[in-house]
Amino acid sequence: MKEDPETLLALERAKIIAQYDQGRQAGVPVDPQEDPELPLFKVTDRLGFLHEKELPSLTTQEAKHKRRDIRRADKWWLKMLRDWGQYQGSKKMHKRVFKGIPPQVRGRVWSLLLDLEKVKEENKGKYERMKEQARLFSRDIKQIDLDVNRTFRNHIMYWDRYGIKQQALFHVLAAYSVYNTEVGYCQGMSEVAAVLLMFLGEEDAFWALAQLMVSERHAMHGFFVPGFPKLLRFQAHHEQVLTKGLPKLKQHLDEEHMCTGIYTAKWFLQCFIGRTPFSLTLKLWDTYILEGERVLTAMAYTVLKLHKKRLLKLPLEGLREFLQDGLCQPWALEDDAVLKHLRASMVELQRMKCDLPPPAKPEEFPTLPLGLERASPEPRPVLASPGCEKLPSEAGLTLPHLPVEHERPGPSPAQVVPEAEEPQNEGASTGPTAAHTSLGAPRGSGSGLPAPGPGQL
Amino acid sequence: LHNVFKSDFLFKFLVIGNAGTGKSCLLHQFIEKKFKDDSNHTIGVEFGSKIINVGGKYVKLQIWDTAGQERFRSVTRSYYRGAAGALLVYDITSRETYNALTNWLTDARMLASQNIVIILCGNKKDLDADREVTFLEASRFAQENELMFLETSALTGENVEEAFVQCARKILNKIESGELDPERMGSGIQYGDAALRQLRSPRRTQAPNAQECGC
Repeated sequence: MKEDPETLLALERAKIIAQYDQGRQAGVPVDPQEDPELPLFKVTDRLGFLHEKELPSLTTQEAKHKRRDIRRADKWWLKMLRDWGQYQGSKKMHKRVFKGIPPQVRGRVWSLLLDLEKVKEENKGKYERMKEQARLFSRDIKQIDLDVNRTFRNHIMYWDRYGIKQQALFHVLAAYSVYNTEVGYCQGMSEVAAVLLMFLGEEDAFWALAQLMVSERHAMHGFFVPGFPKLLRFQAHHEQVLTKGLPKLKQHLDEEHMCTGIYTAKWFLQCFIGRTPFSLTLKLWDTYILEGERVLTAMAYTVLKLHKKRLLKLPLEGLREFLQDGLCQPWALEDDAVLKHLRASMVELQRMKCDLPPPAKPEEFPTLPLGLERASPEPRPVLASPGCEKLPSEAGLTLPHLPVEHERPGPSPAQVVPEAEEPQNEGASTGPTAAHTSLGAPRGSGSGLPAPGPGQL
Repeated sequence: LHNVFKSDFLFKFLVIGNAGTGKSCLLHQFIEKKFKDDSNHTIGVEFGSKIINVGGKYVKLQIWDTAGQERFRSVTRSYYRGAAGALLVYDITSRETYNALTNWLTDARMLASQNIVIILCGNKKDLDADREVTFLEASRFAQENELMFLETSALTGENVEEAFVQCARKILNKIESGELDPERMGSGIQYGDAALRQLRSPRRTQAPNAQECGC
């Protein structure tokens, strides 16, 4: 029996996809290890996180915040949403975002800030087609499945294995992995998409992710593409900011061998998801979606500045513990106060002329068209129930003799002649270059830049 | 009562292997004695530490846990340098993770140190029904590549502490036999606080003359 790697890959892909298609209601067996018992958890907090212990009832402070959110949603945001054109880009709106967008309207505001309606209008049906493409061609299904299984499992939306939100998360990531083949799927994206999905529907979340990757002010493409060029650029810049703005602390960190690379990966790749209390994370995301990458630089500076006194006293172990785990615990300052500091830092850094790192090199931007669609290998498979026995022969045609790689091989391998015993392949073995393309590139970004290939690894 | 802040040695350890093999869960189980069932995947590197007692010596392990996705290797590799020990992890229910071991091994030996002591961990031992890699096969691989070998379960905790301790013990043995020199740069070994105290304090109490003679 000679199963070539591509066939095995396709088999595995089909098996995983089928599990998400059916969901657990349809009786997909769930590994007990992947299935935390619900009765274990007693309560869900305001942000949707599950807790094992009964929570204390709302403190007066929390109750106040809740009332304030409702008031702000009513008084400010509903009006701004009605007359968005008038408020867009205004100082007032800016100020209000920095007070945190009330959860009731967060999805709506994110959608406007990222121009999702327009992108969707320009790309009608695209998301559904990319989902189909993922079924046939994604090379990242296994990794996506692994990570969906460990993304916000302590959150009410993602707690249920193969539940509705896990399905949505899986599909968004799978579709994106074929939409932007240079990024594919990279660990870290699952949490980003999961946060988007907490406030947006599935298709909107997909386009929000797409926008964040290539829009001029976010350009997360460079963060996730192999070699992580943007991460390295931001880390180097962060060091410079510390040297200028917090020289004493910088010296201490250096002496303790706590280098930037250790603690900033999640700060920059995910805009602080999992590294600040979640209520603060969401507010940081509000400002990030509005302002873009300069929030990352400024917040990295702000975190260290606010905790400078404490950090200066800690040896390496303590620094590690604090920066990795301690920062997720409630801060002494309230979120609103932190955001005020963030704003002040942005002004301060701008004055110091280091609010942003030096400009990006072309390698940080897409060099290949986005949303390329490859021809289906044979008459469309029945998508409702992808039969495992059917897929291998179909997928076996795509790139027949490439060895399985953990990373995408890049979408432009030389055309490979299919094996003679599979004559039905001919029409399908067209490489991506020959496949009919339809570009779904959202606005912005240097997709046309001449740049070296992505193969830095 | 031994002060937990005092250790005789500090060893730098790595935990490496493919994504989803349970590296972070092994580390969590080792440090917290608990299985983390809402575990996240690791982005970049994280680290934890614990002091263990090995044959009467207190050793602080500084353990670097790495992201498993191939793409992150370019980032995590830079933390390999100077590691004294490593847990090389695969998942006994996934042959793919086993097949990748050679790559990880080459990386570790090349980038950490030639003398790095590595223990191979076949994790998810509790999922024996789904096993794809036999004990025998893996132990042969371990032998051929001069690795120690254990099958572990981060879920039940079986052999988790043992993996770290065995690896640490072997390093200590090598130090005692002179095969490893902690003073050499990049050995991944440092004297801990307690050892430093022992080294320093006798001198301080000695007569000045004795110190001068340099014996």
